[in-house]
Amino acid sequence: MSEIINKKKEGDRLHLNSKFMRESLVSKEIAKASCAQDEVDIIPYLNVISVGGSSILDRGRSAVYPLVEELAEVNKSYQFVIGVSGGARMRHSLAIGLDFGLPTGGLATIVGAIEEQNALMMYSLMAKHGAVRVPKDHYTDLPHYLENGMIPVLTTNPPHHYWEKPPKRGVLPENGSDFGAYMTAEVLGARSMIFIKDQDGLYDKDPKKHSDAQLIKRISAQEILEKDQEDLIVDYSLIEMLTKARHVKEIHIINGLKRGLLIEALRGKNAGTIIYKDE
Amino acid sequence: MSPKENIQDLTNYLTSSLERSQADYKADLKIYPDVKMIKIGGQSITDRGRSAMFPILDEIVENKERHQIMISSGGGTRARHTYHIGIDLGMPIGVLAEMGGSITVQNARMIQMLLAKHGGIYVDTLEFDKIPLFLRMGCIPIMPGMPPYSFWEDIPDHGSIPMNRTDTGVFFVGESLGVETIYFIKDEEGLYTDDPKKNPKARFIPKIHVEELREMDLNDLVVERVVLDYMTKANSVKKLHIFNGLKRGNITKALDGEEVGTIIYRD
Repeated sequence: MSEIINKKKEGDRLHLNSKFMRESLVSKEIAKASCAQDEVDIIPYLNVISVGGSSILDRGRSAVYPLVEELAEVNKSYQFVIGVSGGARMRHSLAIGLDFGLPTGGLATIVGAIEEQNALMMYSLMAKHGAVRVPKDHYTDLPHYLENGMIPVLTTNPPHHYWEKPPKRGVLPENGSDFGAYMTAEVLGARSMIFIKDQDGLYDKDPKKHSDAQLIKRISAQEILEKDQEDLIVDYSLIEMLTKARHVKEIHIINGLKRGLLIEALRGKNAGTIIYKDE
Repeated sequence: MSPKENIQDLTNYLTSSLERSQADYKADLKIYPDVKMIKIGGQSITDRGRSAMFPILDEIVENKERHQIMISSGGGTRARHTYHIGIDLGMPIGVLAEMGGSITVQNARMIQMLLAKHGGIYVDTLEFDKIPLFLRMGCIPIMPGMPPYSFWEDIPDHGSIPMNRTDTGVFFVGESLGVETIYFIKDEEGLYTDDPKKNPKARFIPKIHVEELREMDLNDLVVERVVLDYMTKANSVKKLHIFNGLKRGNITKALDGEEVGTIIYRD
């Protein structure tokens, strides 16, 4: 293994021996045979907390200040990173961009700036409690911050930019901040993924529009996809990815306008809705 | 409801995934459509070294006065070795994707060094917006092929090899710029019903509709499977043109619109 295979004649490929040498990685058999046995959990004690943009940040001081205090308090017992999603300005950017006729990749490239703004504000509010901004290129420093009781504030929007995949319908990018936060948790092998929103969890329809909407306490990702529910509180692409999860096999959604739920969720209790991978 | 006229309505409109499907907007802006996007295969070309690469680059330079050309690199045998060792060590998908990207950066940098005297310039994924400037100055921008998904790479249905690799990368550079054709330089004539290096009975396919090709559900393909899915939903890219770059003259023919090799098209 791992030796360089000498060329037989000039013009041949210079191969490096491996299981996939000379293989087209597109072959189905190769794909199936390539599964890692036990993928490593890179930071297994990590909790990823996503703070809603339109649901929390855009409400301003009355919603954000108490949440900041609560996050500082739970940091005494749990190690976590924070991501903040975009919210109203992000949607406005999309509206203008759509009107200009930008391609999906172009839209995906502009929306991240709003999340950067929100992350900078969240950092500014929490710096006195140990917050630190950590860009993607410095994720390898996360254990250093976490072990020292700090609270990394990440940009969770995926860095797909011009490489954003075409959505199933329309032109709006499907892979948003919720997807990005979840993928961060998944690749780092986190112990939990918690979404902080402004409602008690996932409802069968939008509770802001329907007074008879029912809270769903627990549901599998597969069931959500089968039901093809029209109102989802998190990105659809996240639910799709959750069905293939290898590390983080459930996500929590809690109400960030109510105190005391975050610590419950961190303890593993269902403090809102849990969406899980049915195995 | 006309969301164009009312931002608040659009805000509500975007929040609902079902209503989202009704978006009737056309992404009709072509950012820079006249560029010829060429991918130089990693395993097929770069790993062969000087004897394969030099004539190909010579032919590209010969065409540069008549066409605005941009190059994207592949991975190749070192990427395969990376996945082998990485998978054995239990690396998650996102880590494998990040590592796979490093090999394509190496290959793009080598191509840049070879083309520097002809205007070859290395373009990082974050410098996407400078591509028009480089092209207008007569440069040949060279980008690493791997898309920047990194830790955010999709979890595959099977196995651990990242599904989105260098074909996906070049596809989306072209799609976002608004080009119609992506050119893939390989060491085979094009698409076959199976890997022609292993199966002598493999049949050559000169031209095929992308939907037909997807329905055939071939065990092996000359481009990444996901690219076919993306193509069916694409706004700009209409053709994937795959041909043998080891045959002198094919690059010129392909860039001039001649159908050498295989063309995968959509309506």
